[in-house]
Amino acid sequence: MVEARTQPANLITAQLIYSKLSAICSEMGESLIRLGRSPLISEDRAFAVGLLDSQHRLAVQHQGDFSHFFALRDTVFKVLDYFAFNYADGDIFICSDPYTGGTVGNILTICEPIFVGGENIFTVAVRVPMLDFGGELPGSLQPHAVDIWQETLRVTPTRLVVAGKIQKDLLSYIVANSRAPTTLRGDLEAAIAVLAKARRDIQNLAASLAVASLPTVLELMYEYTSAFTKQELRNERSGVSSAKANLQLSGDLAIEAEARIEYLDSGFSIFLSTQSDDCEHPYYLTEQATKAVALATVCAPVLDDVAINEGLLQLISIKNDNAPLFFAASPQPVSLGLHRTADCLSALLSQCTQRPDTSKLQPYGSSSKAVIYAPIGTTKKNPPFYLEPGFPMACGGWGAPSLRGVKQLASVEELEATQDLRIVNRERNDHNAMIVSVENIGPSREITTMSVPNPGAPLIKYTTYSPQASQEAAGSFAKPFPKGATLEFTYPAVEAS
Amino acid sequence: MAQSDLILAKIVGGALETAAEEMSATVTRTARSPLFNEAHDFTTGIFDYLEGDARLVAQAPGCTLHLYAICPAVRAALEAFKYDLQPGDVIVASDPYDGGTHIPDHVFIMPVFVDRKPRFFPVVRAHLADVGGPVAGGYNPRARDIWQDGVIVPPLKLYEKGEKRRDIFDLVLANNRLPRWLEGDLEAMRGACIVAERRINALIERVGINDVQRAIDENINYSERRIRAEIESWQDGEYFAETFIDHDYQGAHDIRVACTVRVSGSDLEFDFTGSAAQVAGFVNSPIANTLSFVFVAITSCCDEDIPINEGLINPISVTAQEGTVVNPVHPKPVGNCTCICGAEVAEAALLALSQCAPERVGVNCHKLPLAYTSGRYETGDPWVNLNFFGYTGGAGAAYGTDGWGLYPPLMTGVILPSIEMTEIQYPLRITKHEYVSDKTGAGRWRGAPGVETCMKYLVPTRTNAMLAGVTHPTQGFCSGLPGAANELDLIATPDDLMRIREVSYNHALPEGGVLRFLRGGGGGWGPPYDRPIEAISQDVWNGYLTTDAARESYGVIIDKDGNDGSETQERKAWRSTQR
Repeated sequence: MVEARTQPANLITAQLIYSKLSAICSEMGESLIRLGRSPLISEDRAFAVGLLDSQHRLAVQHQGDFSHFFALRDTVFKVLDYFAFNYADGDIFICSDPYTGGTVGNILTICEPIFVGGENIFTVAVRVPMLDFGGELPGSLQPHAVDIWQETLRVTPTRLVVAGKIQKDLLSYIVANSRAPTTLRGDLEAAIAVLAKARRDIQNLAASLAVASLPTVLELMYEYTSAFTKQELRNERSGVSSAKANLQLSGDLAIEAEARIEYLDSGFSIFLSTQSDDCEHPYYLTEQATKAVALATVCAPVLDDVAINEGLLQLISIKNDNAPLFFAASPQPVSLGLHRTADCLSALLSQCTQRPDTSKLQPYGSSSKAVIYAPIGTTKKNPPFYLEPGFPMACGGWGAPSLRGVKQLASVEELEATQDLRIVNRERNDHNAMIVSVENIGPSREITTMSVPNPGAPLIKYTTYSPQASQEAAGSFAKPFPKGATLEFTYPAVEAS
Repeated sequence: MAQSDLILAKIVGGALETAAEEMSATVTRTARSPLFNEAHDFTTGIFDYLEGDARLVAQAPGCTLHLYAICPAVRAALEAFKYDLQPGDVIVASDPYDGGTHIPDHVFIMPVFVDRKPRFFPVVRAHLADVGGPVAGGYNPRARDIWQDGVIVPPLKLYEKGEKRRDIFDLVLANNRLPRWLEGDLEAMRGACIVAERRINALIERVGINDVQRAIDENINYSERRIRAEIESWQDGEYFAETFIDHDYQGAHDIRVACTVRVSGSDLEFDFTGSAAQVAGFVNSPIANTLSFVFVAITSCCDEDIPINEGLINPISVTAQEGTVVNPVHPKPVGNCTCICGAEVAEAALLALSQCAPERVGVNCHKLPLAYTSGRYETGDPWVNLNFFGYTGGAGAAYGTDGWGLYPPLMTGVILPSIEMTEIQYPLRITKHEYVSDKTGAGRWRGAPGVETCMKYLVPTRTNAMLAGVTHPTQGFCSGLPGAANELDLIATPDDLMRIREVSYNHALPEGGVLRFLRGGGGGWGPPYDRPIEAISQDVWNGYLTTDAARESYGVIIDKDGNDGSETQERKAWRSTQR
């Protein structure tokens, strides 16, 4: 047991303490990158790490993908609420359910309450994408899903570790339902190790300061983040603005949507509505995903400069004005929501903000992607590989749109050495579009693709042996990808909405 | 053995069987899913546990195809928790590659402790209406790996020391489209195990554990003696037969299931060497399923008063090479194995046995025109209907009797739900359920007639339709002819009919859409020309046969009024050779 000492708090120490918390969080992220086995963690860095305070508010969060903004906090909140009055030192919980505070089915939240002096002063959490969680297809793209069970296993709040003892049967259940069991087990162990290190760091920190002052420290930081963000966005914060658009989600699915932003003293109130949508498709966004898109868009100008904490999250409130597309209800499928709908919504909200078309301020820009795996049923394990070999140039800029996260451009050498994929060509054309051709130089495989709709000019072309066989590969799944076949991705530069 | 020991063995055996039957009654009366409380698609049993080995000691009559499958599933679950069992624990498991058959068939196990050691295990094996995964109902004809079949459940404790693990319980419910039903069903199965625990404890209190154990050993020995006596009555030798699966729903056709039966004294071996390699589609049969269907076949050849316990299993061995359709390797899909190729495993075994025990084999059938339909109630809650009515019929003949009844014998114990209850529980009307003419296998004894069923759904639906038993319908025995081919139609409107050739995935039907099943009749037993003219005449009179078919299949000319007629030259010639 760590004995907590008491110390008075002041503004300087508040910043120092907060920086230490932020450093702990940052180290969690760095450790995860080094320990995680999945390329989604070690290369794409599409995870989040965070600390929640004793009230289960977000104290600090570091992330590599916008989708975690609200989902980490909300999932942890729902998990702890589920186990209310029934958790203790040494317990670790897991959850990966779009309908328990999450976004999509393959992102697992792992959290551990930290106790000092018998009190739950923090909860540390990581939110990590898993390579595969069962479902119809390897990977997280399920272009034809009509319900959530078709997409992935649902992991509702469960206690993986009880007082330091791992629940082997639950672990077996989780692992048995993945086509990438070794990677999943490794990633889970990495996450647990990261949480353990963070627990020790926080307990050491608590031993050196006044625990009783922590709420005050955190309140100060929340207020600062909120005030700073509002100040920076003051020029945009007046009155009401609205926009309408026809969201082209896929080649044959378009939904009319309207957004209205009200700028209030407390932040941004966003009203969303769509035309009636009762069809079965996987383009739904959960409330947490929708709020994340809104925050990433509305607060884009300041996101590099402020800490991600409760003060930032509380600036955004979303009102469901009959918009089922943005407020998915169980059991609607969601696997393509973050890949496509999020960009469409961001573009719509960007219209409301009426910002100039500079790269930093316009975060949207969908890109086509593919998941590659061994022919289904032919191998005992079938870890999928997520291929996104290029990116669209952001509005008015030259880098990738910020909604793409911090993932790096796929390395030519890495692809060739570890995935038997050769980048034959990766160039920008006269229209600033990036064109990438990828050849399968390994064994025959299968692919699932998610192509951004682009009438008349498919953004993923699929060629088997002869150019004449080239065809569009929009939203196809389990398509043969034999040796010698190529995928040509086109990433047009993003235009202002 | 002293007579008093025999009496005690009978008393203890009866008590355990009664406990298993009481478990069955408990599930029926308390479960929520119509699969349990109407169709009885489950089996209950009791195992003992000595020195790390679990033995089946009693089983209630139930769905026959769970018969042996219950054993490896229990052993796998106990292996996972052998050092971590407490009174009040309840384990659930369904892993086709660790003792299971197909994912919907889950086992529920509760240890009963005697002298601080787990000594007995009441077990329920049941078919769940849904198991998450890509399609509602758990039968995914597009499956190419086990994860596409559904959510795998390695042994998992639902209750620990009598306390519900609420998070695990809710996890299991969340991965099911019918959580309200499942929740009740899980509690019902636990309730059944608790009832058995009380009965076992009462028995031990009355008789004493040592005498109970001695009595169980004697009962197991008795069953073994009976089955060995039956096998010894068959001529020693090697008997080969083969049959074929129509297709795997994904392009492979005429998939061979070969079986060599070796009778040696009182030992019996079923060797499936020569069966086809595993296939891409979900008709592969994991080893537990293959074993189970072998025992389905063998028990249909034995006296029904032999107690079902480990003794029945001991004299029999099964050989199935890894990587074949009768023993696939992970992760091949297996979702349809309890229909196809379970049916072919039993059929090949029976065809081989028919060469050494012709008067014992019969009642072969299980090739279903399978179709699962799902939709939503007005409340928005999903439902899944297994369309049990469409599978009725098809029983084959046996020595001394025509095929009879509505349900295929392999599903004995599964009860046909009432039409009224079905129409209350699902938004449908059963508009037709009738025997049809000329859709059965001819023989000295004929198969049960074919059955036509029409089910009209009152709301929009989706159906996964999987047809089998067309190219290779249910076989007859000992020169009996095969049954008729199955048919399956999905009818959106009278002008928009889709005749299923092999499979249709998630086929959408509008409100008023109709599923039409034609369940082909069973195979015959013995040469058709040997069937008495009076029996043929009776069949014509009952509408099972037309006069044309009577002439063509049986060589008997019967007038339009059904009067006994004369024999054709072919029949006369054949009969003359038999004298």
